[in-house]
Amino acid sequence: MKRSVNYGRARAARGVLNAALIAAALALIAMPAVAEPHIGGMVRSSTAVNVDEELDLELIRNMQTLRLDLSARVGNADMVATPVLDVTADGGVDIDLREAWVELFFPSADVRIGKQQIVWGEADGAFITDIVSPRDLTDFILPDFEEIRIGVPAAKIDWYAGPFTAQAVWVPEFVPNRMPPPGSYWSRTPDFSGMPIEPDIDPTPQLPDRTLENSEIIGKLSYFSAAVNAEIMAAWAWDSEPVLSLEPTFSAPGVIESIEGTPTYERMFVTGGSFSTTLGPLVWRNEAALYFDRSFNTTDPFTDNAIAEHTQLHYLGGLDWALAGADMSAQWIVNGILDHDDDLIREQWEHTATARARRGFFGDRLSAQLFSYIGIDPWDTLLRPSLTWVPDDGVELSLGADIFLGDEEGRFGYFGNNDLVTAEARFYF
Amino acid sequence: MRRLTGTKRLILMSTALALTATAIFAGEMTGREVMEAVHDRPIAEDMHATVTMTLTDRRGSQRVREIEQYTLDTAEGERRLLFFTAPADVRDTSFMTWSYDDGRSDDQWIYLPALRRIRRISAEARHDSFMGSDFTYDDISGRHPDDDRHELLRRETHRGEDTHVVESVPRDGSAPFDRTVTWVIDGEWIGIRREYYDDRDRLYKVLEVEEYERIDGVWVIPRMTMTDKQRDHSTTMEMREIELNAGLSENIFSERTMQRGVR
Repeated sequence: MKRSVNYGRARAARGVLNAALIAAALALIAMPAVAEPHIGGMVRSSTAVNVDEELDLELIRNMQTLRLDLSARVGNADMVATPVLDVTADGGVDIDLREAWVELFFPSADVRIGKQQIVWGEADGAFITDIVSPRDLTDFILPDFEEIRIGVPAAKIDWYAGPFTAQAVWVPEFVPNRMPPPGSYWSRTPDFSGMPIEPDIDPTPQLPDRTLENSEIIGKLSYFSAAVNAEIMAAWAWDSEPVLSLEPTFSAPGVIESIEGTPTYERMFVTGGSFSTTLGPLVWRNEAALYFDRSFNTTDPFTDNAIAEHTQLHYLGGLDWALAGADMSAQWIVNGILDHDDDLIREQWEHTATARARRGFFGDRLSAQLFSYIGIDPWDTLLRPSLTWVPDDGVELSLGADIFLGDEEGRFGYFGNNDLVTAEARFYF
Repeated sequence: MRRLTGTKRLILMSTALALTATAIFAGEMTGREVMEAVHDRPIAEDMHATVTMTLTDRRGSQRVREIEQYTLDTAEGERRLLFFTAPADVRDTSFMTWSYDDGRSDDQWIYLPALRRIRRISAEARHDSFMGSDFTYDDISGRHPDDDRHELLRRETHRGEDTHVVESVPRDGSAPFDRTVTWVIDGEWIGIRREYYDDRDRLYKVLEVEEYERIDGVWVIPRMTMTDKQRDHSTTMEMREIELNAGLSENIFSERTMQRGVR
């Protein structure tokens, strides 16, 4: 059974609940029994301006953010809450609780319960075995990795035995990726060129019912040593990315009148692993996952609502090294549907490279970084240069750009008119 | 008795001087032996201290970092774990080094709270600045005697101490310095000054150990300053609340502790 989501009502309810939880967290920290209370955080002013081909400017984002880092300790329990308040120039206000959890410490185990971000794997800018926390893609992949991940309500247990750690995660309620609303700055219209007629898409997704049967179970075993850091994982989970369930209606036998499309989420089994080790002056990272029975859209709305299950391989190989005082990193990412057929909308293989160079100057008061995604066939790229200046401890001023180039059919070239110049001021306290 | 000619007198005096010098230096240590003595100097089995790292630029403006440092002497070498507690933008960042007595390259990891991930650091990065300071990762974890070729230059009285002055030249070409010169106190085997020279033999960094004291029979360095002579920038490390031999467990130097802190 699936349920529809009214995003407006859900957002309002979330805001009220988050505000109540934040008040409770602050009250808890103020309690006399609490040891090591800490209130810290960050204030940020962020501006993004679109620069089009004619060099016309359009203000895309002007946002003030307050993030609180609240923590406290009672006995062998730690409590953490991370409320975030965003205020936009047009008066929009969003209160979110990025994380709120309690962690109990035992000699050989930790138990963490609550809304939490769980991060796995070795990849930078790619999510291969890192599937527990979904992502907020309303600003594409541009936000910081800490902000792009959405906390999930979960119970997590870590058992420690020498160099081994076993982790089990139970997520009682599925949380999907937050997708850009249709028609928004970062939305992308799927390619329906293979369809008999273009579908009408209902933006309201169908989520799984909140039942025990629909919860997610994920496990990981990791090994930490001087020679190698390695992880293997397995998950029985929902795909965080929606697939469109397409249903045709007929005006006459064999004559399609319309196709209605609804975003829906499907189950899959994932297994994979990662490791990192040193090769002389290099750090070598690898990560791979197989997604079994992952759902993809086809061009055939007459069969299974244009959804077919296939096996997908996602692999990353990366190298890190230092060169002339700069930190360098390169990754090659392969994403392929192993049992691909021509009915699928998606191509069989996607190859992407990433490259990063970062150098600090004047004792790291000034740093320059270039991070780039490079799509291979079709060729396209996202270039992200940035300069950050730290005039004083806890203060960061940064200037950057997000430049989309290349084939308009590519994942990055599609946003060729969305080039941005960004400026941020952050104060950490 | 016949008088010696001037030439014969000169030869006789030179020979006597040479023999005297040989007798004196027959017991002198080599540069390598001095640096091995420094490396093998008795240390505490473990140590916990609060470290304040003060960065001072040419205008005198300062930036301060507070660090909780844990070290453990193991059968293989040494383990070191640093937690940054201040300022706010680096709070909860942790750094761990496993060093080895057999001369293997150190293994190093850094935990960045914003990424929620522990990352290995490449061996080449050991020559990078440690958190924007004048110390490199290599300076923090220390160099093994096998990393360099050593030569004893001279004996010298430095700051009232009888010292061995040793020149060390890196065996690999990746180091940012061409040679170092270290002043080591005779008998105590603690280095109290080190000069770093670049490939043009220009002095570019100086490490000065400003305070050293014995605690529970081992030498501890509560204060030292690294000065970059070319940038006119310095970093001072001050240790306080020093606890030795508290029985730290090897389990502390782990992925779990890097992410959650010492409990």
